[in-house]
Amino acid sequence: MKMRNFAVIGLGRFGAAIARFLEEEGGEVLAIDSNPEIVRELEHDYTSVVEADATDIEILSNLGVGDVDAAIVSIGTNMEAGIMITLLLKELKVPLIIAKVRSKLHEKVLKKVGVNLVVYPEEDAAHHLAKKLYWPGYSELEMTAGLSLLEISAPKSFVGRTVSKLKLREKYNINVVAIKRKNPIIDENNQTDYEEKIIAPPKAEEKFETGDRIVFVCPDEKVDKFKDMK
Amino acid sequence: MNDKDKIQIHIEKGKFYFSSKKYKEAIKEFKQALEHDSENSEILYSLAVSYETSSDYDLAKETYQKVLFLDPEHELARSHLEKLLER
Repeated sequence: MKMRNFAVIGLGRFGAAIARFLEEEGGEVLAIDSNPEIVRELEHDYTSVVEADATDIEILSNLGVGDVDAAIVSIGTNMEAGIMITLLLKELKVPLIIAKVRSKLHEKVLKKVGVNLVVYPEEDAAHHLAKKLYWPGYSELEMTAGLSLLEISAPKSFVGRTVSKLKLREKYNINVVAIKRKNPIIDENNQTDYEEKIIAPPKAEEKFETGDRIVFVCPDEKVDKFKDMK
Repeated sequence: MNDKDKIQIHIEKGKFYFSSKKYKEAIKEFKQALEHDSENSEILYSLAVSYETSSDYDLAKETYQKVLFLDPEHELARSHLEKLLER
């Protein structure tokens, strides 16, 4: 079932951004911060933003935090407050608690008190940027449990050959989930442009064309294989 | 044949090759058209789109930037360039 109701506690840069994205995606977001200035600044950006002390279980309960599908604790500097809030969220039986952490120790402690998932926003962003710089043309969409979902331009050697002929699964241990193909058009103003068509999943007999981008899943350790592929 | 006609022929040939997914040939034609009119933002835009469609993203970015230098109001070039820079 799709998650709909969220609480975001701590509205610094990360918390405010995630609250905004969740709301833009159609979620019901209860955004909480104890700093009145931050709340004042953000109150026009979200439907529901409140100034409250999230370390008080009664306040959390009255706000309806016990009914959310997931809570995101985005308190980076005050570790104690983060621990306290997590314990209260646990007590309120919030099914999924996600916390922003700053160190391995922070992660360990929060997981011990019941956080289900931790994120390192700065580290994740740095990792993502480093990969982009190291492998120009690669764009990493998501990573989970040792698997990467990657998008690359189809190597020249693929052009004119079919998905099955290339034996990508056998040779490289990758699964192609989609091909993004640019179809050239001349628009109503007699101007060249293109439309992107997504072929997902591609059939075995689908031939790669110049300009195709391939979206595929592969184990992290195999990602390197694509670095020099032309 | 005057320059204007020559340019038009290269543009039309370029568009024909572009529509037929023959990007290398299209790029050649657009470049030849530009030899006669190097500051024509519309031809440069067609060249940039051809680079982008054939996955030559660096040249595409450079060429969209040239389009915007000549015509800062070129919204299509701006949106293509922004998309490429997000990559």
